[in-house]
Formats: sequence, C-alpha cells, structure tokens
Amino acid sequence: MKRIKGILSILLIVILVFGFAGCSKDNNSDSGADTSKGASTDEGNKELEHVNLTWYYPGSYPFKDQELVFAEANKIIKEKINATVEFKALPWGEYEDKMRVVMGADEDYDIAFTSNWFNNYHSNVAMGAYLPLNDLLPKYAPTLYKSVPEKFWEATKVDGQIYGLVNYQISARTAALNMKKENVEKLGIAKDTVFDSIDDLEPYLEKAKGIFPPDMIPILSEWRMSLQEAVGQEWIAGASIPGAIYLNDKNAKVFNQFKSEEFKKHVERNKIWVEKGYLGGDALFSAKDTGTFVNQGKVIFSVGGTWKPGVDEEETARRGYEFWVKPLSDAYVTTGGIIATMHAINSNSKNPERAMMLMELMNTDVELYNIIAYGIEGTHYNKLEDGTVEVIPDAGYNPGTLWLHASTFNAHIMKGMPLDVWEQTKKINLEAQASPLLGFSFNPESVSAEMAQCESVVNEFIKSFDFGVGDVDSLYEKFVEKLDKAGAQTITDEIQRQIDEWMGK
Amino acid sequence: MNKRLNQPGPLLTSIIHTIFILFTVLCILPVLLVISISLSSESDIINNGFRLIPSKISFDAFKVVFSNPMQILNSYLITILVAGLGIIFGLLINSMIAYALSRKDYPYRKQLSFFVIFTMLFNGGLVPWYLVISKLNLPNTIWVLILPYLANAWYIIILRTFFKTIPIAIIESAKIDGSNEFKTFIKIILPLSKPGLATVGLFILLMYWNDWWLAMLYIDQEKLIPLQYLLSRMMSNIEFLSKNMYMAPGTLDLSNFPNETARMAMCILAAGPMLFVFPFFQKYFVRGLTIGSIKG
Repeated sequence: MKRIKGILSILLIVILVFGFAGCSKDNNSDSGADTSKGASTDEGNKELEHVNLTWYYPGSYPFKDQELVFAEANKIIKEKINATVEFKALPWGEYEDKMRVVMGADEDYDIAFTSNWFNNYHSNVAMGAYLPLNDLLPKYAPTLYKSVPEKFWEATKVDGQIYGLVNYQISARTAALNMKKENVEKLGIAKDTVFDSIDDLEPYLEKAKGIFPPDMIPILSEWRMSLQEAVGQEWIAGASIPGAIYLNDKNAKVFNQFKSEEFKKHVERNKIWVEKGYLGGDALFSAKDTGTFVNQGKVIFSVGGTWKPGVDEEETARRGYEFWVKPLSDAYVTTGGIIATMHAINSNSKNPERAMMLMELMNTDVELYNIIAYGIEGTHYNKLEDGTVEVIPDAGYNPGTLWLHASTFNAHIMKGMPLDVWEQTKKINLEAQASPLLGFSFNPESVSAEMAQCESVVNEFIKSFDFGVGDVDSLYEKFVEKLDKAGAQTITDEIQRQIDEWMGK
Repeated sequence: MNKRLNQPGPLLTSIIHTIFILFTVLCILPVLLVISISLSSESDIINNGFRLIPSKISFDAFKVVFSNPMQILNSYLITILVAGLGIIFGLLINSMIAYALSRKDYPYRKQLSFFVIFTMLFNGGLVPWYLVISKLNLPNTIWVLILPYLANAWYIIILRTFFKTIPIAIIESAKIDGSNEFKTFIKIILPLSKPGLATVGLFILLMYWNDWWLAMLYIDQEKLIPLQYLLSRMMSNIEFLSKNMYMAPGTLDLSNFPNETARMAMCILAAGPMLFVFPFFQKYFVRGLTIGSIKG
C-alpha cells in the first residue's frame, strides 16, 4: 500500500511537470489559406492592419551592420505593406539544425528558405511543414507568379500543389571551367578561347608543365562537381547516388552513371593524365576540401559550378583578381536547377497572405531587394556612373548571395557585368534544353538504406578516380562490385518505376 | 608479507613507464601542434604544411582574431558568467538531491532514485525539450544557457555514492548536538565531501565551458553569444561551405572566414583557461578524508 502511494505521488509529480509542456499544439483547423481575412488587399494599404512576420534564411551571418540594414529594409516594408519583418539570418552551419527544431516545435514563423540541397524541400513538404500556395500565389503575388515561366512552377509541384516560391534567376545549368586570368594568359588562352570539352585542355596542360612550379595543381576535375552537364547526364537522386538519365533521352531510361561510358572515360583520362604529370595527385588526394586550393589560387584549371552570363565579373569582384569561367556544355534546365533556391511559407503561419505579399514585394521592389542583397548605398556599396555597383570590402555587410533572397533580375548589376546581363540570363533560361524529367521529383523513402550504402561506397572510391591515385583498373572493378552489393540496381529500378509512373500521367 | 613480491621488476617498470610516456606524448602533441599552427604565418602553412616548431614565429593569427576585440571579450564574459553561475548552482542543486537520495531514512528514496535514473535512459527528445524552454520564455536570456543543465542524473549518482560513504553516525551526532538538517548538510556533509564536489564541479565547469549547443538553439542575439559558440559557428560555416560549394545555385563566399592559423588561435583562446583551472582541482582528487573522523 505504502509503495503504491509512493509511486502514485511520483507519477503525480511527473504529470504536473510534463503535462504543461505536452501537446499544447492546437490542431490547425483552418489550415490552408484563410481567404476571409485580408480580402480587401486590393484597395490601398491603409486597410491593412499591422503584422509582424518572421523570415528565416541562411548566409555568412552575422555581419556587423546587419541590424542597420534590416531596419532600413523594414522602413520600406512598413510603408508598402504595413508589416514589420524579423529577419532571422542564420549562419550556414546552423540553419538546417535550427530549422528542424523550429519546424518540429511548430514555432511561429512565416517564411523560410528551402531547396533541394539545403533544408530539403521535398522532405519538409512531406512532413507538412509548408503551406500549399496554389490559391495564394496568383492572388497575393500576381507579378511574381507571372514573371516565372509555367514550366518552372511545374518543377516545384508536389501532388499538383506549389509549396515553394522560386527565386527566379539563372536556372539553366552549364558545366563550367574556372581559371585565373593571370595563370592562363601565360599559356596563350584569351578571354574568347572556347573549350568544347575537358579533352581540349590537354595541349595547355602540356605547356603548363614547363612554366609553373611543381606545387601548382594543373587541373581539378572531380566527377561530382557538376560534371553531369558536361557529360550530358542528369543525376536524379544526387551526385553520389546511382541513377541517371541522358538529358537528350526522351524516354528517360535510367542507368547507373558509375557504369556509364562517360564515367569510364573520366577514370581512364585521369589515369593517363597522372602518367603524363598533369594532375596534382597526392596533395589533392589527402586534402579534405579541394575548394581551398582554388581559393588560394594554386589551381590552374578547375571544373565546377555553373556558367552564366556575367559570371566572370561576379567571380572577379568576389575574389579580388581577374577570373574567367568558360562554358563546357550546353545549357540544360532540370528540376534540380529550379528548386535549388526557393522560399516556402510555414503551414502554421498566422498571416500567410501577408507573407505572400512580402515575397511579392521582395520580387518587385528593386530598392528593397537591393538593400537585403547589398546593404546600404554609400556604406556597403557604391553606385558607379553607369548604374552598376561596386561592393566596398569589409564594410560590415556583404552576404554575397544574390540568388538567395528573391528574383535576381531586380539586382543592381555588378561592376563590369554586361548591362543586359539579366536579359541574357532570361534568354538562356527560356532557350535552354529542358530535361525530359522537368517537374519530376524522386521520392527516396523506400530505398534510403541502399542510398546511404551507395553513398559511402562512392565516397570511399571516388577520390582515387578523380585524382588517378592507386591501381585504378582493379579499383574500378572493386568499386562496381561493391556498388552492386550496396544495392545500386535496387535504386535505379525504383527511380525507373517512379519515372514511368510519372510519365504515364 | 614480503613487500618485494608486490614490486614489479625493473624490466616491467620500464615497459610500463614507456607505455605511459608514449601515451602522454600522444596527448600533448595535438595541443602543441595547435599552438604551433596559431603562431605560424599562413603562407608557411600552405607551403610547408604543419610543423611542431614554427619556422618563424608570427602573431598574425592572433591579430586577426583580436581585430574585433569587443566581440571576443564579450563572449568571454558571457562564458565566464555562465560557467561561474553554472558551477555554483549546479553543485548546490545536484548535491542537495543527491544527499536526500543517500539518506537511508528518507522514505521515497527508491522511487525518487528511479525517477532520476529514468531520465538518464529515456528523454522526451529534442523537440519537446525545445518546446518547454520556449514556452518558459527563456530564449535569449542568460538563464537559458544555465538552467537546462543544472540537474544532471549522472552527477547526482556520483555524488550520492560519495555521500553514502559518510557514516550515518556523524549525522546522528550532529542531530544530538542540536543541528538541524540543513545546517548539518552545509556545515558537516559538504566540507567532508570536498573531493566528490571538486570532481563533479570540474565536470560541471567543463560542461558549461564547452557548451555551444544551447546557444545554437536559443540565442539569436550577438551580445549573449558564448565563446565556444563563436568558435563552433565559424567552424561549421567553413565546413558547410566547402562541402556544398558545388551544390549551391550561386556563389558561396569563403573569403569572409578566417584561415587555418586564425582558427587555431581561436581554439587556444577557448581551451586555454581550462588548462589552467585544472591543477586547482587536482589536489582534491584524493579520497579518504572521512577516515578518523569518528572514534569508536
């Protein structure tokens, strides 16, 4: 009896302590758009009552002057849509962790950055974290809705609903070759030299041997670093996961890219280049992160990133020395390229329509966008005579992520970029070859274990192939065998099944 | 009993010594390497790799770190404040509950012990925890860095075991002399438990000093950022950017981040003070203080 009493009293304490914290979540009965509120938005902003909005996005924050910049932005936002935005600009390294908690705890926020490579869009949609926007979007953000091509909205849809607002910009991806002007001029490369493929580099690499000191790395061409466009493939589930199609294959037949001719050629070429002394072999092999070498200017040619109009000037401004980026392939539009930068609205947002209006404003108000993107004129950047801008280094605010905040077509053009850079970009977006899978997104749930295994196999071997280290031929055989064991076939079959289902719609 | 039998031979002694010397060196080397890197110039590192003895001493890294001295100083103050308050309150709370659990004459000892130990094995997970703290309006206060770690089941168990070694007779004799429970605890039990308190105190101090997790979750304001979080934020940013360079649709800028040498300088600033604190605790790591405190 006494014991039961004791246990009961403890239980009571437990209930008292934790009962309060438990499910205080009210089931959102009015999920979706509450259109009864704020229906009078068309008649002047006087009608709008003041609201507070919270907006999460990542970057190289914190900056010294960010509060000043946000206050400046809020002046405009208050005047235009009578809202005050709390900008939660978080450091890159934390954003995902923090968002997971915020979403899990149903914390009150309105807008968050989401994409296919960071703060994953599809898994968050599957969790019900985001609000479907089919009704809200044309109603409260008509300009944004019209400015983005229909096929782009298709790419964001999950079960027919749009959940992400595309930050419209260069979505067509083109494989790119990067070089420092100072280095390659010695090799006789000019600004208008054209390369069709990586093989064209061979004579220049031969030349470089006599000119540069041995600690210079002649070329970095890593398979996963955006070589997919260079070899005309689209990797559906990620760079490290088997499952690809050829971009010009209308039937979208799925294969394992690590068994493709293109990959074999990549392996073979690196093997030969090591023999000829074109690759920086061992130094690269042991490096944790090869990007550092590029930033230190120790690499002559590197393949990676994506080419776009005005990229030379953008890179030059960013690095502080003249830098050239040259296209290595045609431009392709894939689902991945479009959903790489979006904003979503919280499914529990108290003011979804106002959040949508804020996004409309960000995408239409040139002044507001540029405050967020560049900071305050005269303090963080200077406007030059021809209307282009120059960032002032170390001025206390320089996120350097034009692509993240909203449509970049409102951005001030950077010094040295062609003045019609945005027109060129739009043209490329529209003319680029669309992937046969545009709008398809792969649901990895049923094969996630195989995917993780394959990824670790690829991570284990890929460096040997990228830098031609070790006995490549026997390693390749081992690699393919291990991939098969890890379930590569299961993954490609599953992708094929989902594609067939999607195509049969 | 012949003492010599228990003495290891000279060969065995030297083997044991060698093993421990090697082990010590292994522990010290990384620390020395970090110090050496922080005192090298960046170009040396790039050209010659890491060295145990810098080819020439340069204080550039520390200059970079202290280019914004207010931020570092402020974070230091926050960390010291949190660790200081944390160790005081943490010891108090943990030792009080541990003492109650160690007393055989406390009726619900078993149930309460179970309640404490249960939390070691099962917890609500991150989200409920986050909810509780958010609902209490703790985020963005200094308390959010202190309160969540105050009561720790593991430390309570260590202390309880320690208090159990104190003979009940001492407590009884104090009672007879007219001391009340609280006074007995403060005046007699705590002084007798110095070694245990010092051990747990050091753990608590290290826990608070090295914690950045709480700050990551609950602090948005720059003025409340502790030192370790400043460091971890920098490192995780660098790591993220180098991992995702080729994933991002646009450019990601690494130039805003300090380089290798500056990062190591930060490490020294963050870990250094604890190296100096440790010796002060060491003298308490000796047991057997209760022997002879009772006669008969």
